[in-house]
Amino acid sequence: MISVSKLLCDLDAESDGLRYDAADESSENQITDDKQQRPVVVWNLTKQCNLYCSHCYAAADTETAPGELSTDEGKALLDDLAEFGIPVVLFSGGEPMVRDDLEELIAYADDAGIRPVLSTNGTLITEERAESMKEAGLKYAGISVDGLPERNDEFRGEEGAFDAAVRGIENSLDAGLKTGLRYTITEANAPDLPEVVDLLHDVGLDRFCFYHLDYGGRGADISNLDLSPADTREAVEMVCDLTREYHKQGEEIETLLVGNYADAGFLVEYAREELGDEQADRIYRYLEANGGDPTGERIADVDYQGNVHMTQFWQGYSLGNVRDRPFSDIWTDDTNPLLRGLRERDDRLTGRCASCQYQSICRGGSRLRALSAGGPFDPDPKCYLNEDEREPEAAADNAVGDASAD
Amino acid sequence: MTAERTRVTDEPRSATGREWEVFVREDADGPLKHVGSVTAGDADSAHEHASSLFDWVAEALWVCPADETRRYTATGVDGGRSA
Ligand code: SF4
Repeated sequence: MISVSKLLCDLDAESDGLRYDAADESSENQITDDKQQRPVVVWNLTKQCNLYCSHCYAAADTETAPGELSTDEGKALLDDLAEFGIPVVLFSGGEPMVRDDLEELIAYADDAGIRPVLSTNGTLITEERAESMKEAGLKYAGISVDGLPERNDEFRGEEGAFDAAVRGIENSLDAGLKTGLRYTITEANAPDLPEVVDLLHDVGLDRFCFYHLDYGGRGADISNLDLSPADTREAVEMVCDLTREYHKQGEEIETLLVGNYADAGFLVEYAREELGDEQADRIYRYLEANGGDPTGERIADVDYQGNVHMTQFWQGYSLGNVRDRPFSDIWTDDTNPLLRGLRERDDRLTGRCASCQYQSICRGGSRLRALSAGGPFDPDPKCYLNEDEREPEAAADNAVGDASAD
Repeated sequence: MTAERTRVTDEPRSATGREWEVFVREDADGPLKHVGSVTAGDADSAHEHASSLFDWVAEALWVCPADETRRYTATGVDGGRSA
């Protein structure tokens, strides 16, 4: 998770030396003193959902699936997470609000000292539910909207889903819950992005998280709807521009990018162009301290049946199951070669990632997308930086070579 | 001391396919180790999927259907619900 607003608009010399933290969906200050030691854990409480979205990584269904962790099992999981020092648990789904023990689990996490946050389609947030979640100790609700009304409803498989999400946002804000937008950028909805921000800012939102498409669940089936590298670049630039525009007008919106750490390299390039070398270098240092793509390190996922995954999008492979073994033991088992390899990936990355000048702030982008291109250490096929940016010296040499070949 | 193991519930482990336990041997003289599971429709796709993850390290690779595996543990969260 890269905070565009923080890096482009809020960094100043005094905060130099601090670290940028990747706590997904946490509304806490994104700059912290210590590198995050334990992962943020996404817990897909249920596979069930009241909508049927085409890009759903959890491949959610309108029916409950067998094997959901029970309330007691969930509490045992939270006990283990708390003892292990997990900073944040993100309740997700399916649609987590279809579970009627959600508030109980939020309160349990909060009491155990884990920051409970929620990822929801927002359509079930009534005034009462917003209040009961707030009372239970919920710290943040991220609500998904994926385009202007017509496009969003088509994407989400239900007419009126946009209006229902906006009502959810309003109820959440009215209850005093910190609330933000989740927007998964695809080829279809990229042009809607600025208007959606304007519209929802008018409703009262000031936090906007933009997700690149990752290829898990139903997202895998629509990988052909992903933006081309050039269009991705354009969308990210649009996020940078609109963030600065809002801040210039005194509206301190928070904007974040998730799911493609080539964004880190892009931000440095953007800052060098727009804000000068000093600011670009400062941004680079923060991003380097942050550590790049968090797969297998700063983000983890437990699905509704207790399978542990390396990110919430990587559902097809599981490290183990919490019904067999505590999460803390699964996560610290360095005898798993893939987990170990991804944690030591710097020496293993291949192709353009191996020689990229931004490797230490990106770490090869999405390892799940890399897998769709070949293996776990292959380059992310959705890296959109060009050779001049990734490897300026090689690009210069090639240019000389080309010229002398003339 | 004998650990108090209970049988782990044998509810399905995936709703999008069958779950396959994966075992890898990294060195010819090393142990065959459980390294997690993959979701796949049949054994061949499970092998293909597991290979894409572990080819770089595996001397030997086994895939076994999770629903044919009985698991007993002393440390899971389900507390012997299905024992
Ligand atoms: S080449 Fe690889 S390491 Fe470099 S920015 Fe692209 S994805 Fe990241």
